[in-house]
Amino acid sequence: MGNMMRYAGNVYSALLSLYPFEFRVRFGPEMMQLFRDCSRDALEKGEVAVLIAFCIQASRDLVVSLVRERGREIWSWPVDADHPLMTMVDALLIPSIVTGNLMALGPILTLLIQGMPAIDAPIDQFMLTSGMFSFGIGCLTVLASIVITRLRPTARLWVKLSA
Amino acid sequence: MATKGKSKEPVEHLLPLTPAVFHILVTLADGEAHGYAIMQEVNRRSGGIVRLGPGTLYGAISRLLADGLIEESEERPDPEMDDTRRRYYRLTKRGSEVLASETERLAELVRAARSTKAVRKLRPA
Repeated sequence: MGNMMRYAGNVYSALLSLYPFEFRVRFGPEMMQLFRDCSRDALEKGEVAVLIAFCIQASRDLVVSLVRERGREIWSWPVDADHPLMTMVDALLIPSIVTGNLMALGPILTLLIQGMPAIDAPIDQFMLTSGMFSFGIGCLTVLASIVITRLRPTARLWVKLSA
Repeated sequence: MATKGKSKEPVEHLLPLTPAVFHILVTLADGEAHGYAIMQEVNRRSGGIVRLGPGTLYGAISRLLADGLIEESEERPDPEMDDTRRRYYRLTKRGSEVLASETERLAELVRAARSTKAVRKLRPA
């Protein structure tokens, strides 16, 4: 259970990097502390189900607030909004996060819902190949969105310096 | 952050408040608190109906700071007993005004709803 909590904390910490740079720097440590406090609470109740329920709730909250904060950052940034570089970075960011997650999670969800096929069962080669491709491209897109997120503050600095 | 400079906006422009923001302001009206305490108190006050996750809570706190409704407190209620990494927040004068205006607005709404036939009929004796 303790390992599960540590693992959840590490995943949450990694996902915090998707928030806008300023927001992450200002509130990231506090959010992480809050996540630890809440998961410790769940752990004290002694049930795995409570911890899982909390992790699901925290994931949903993360997705909703992430979209909201990204939206706020993109739409209420009058200084840089018209700059082509910022527009390009912004235009790439949200679609890459959404598409990447959908493509990476799609095959996993399908496997979870339908179950793992038996080893001797006939496998539709096309479905398997396309699923693997989708997963691979999805993972690459998630990686790309993380790179773009990291690139954003640099692009912003570059825009400021060149202005 | 993106919403800097909004603190001069008239109080009425900030209304209506979202349920999360309203609950946070009500919690801070009783005294300064850190994120975890706010989360617990909002959960308790709302009878578990409003559950703030870390993202929602700090998103709201970020907007409240930018609008000048709350501020970070430098003091610690009990530095020896508390984790120094925690940040405490407290209501500003402007925050109190906004909370009072929103409370009044909601009270008006409740009065108006109670005066309707449908609600009068359903109200317990």
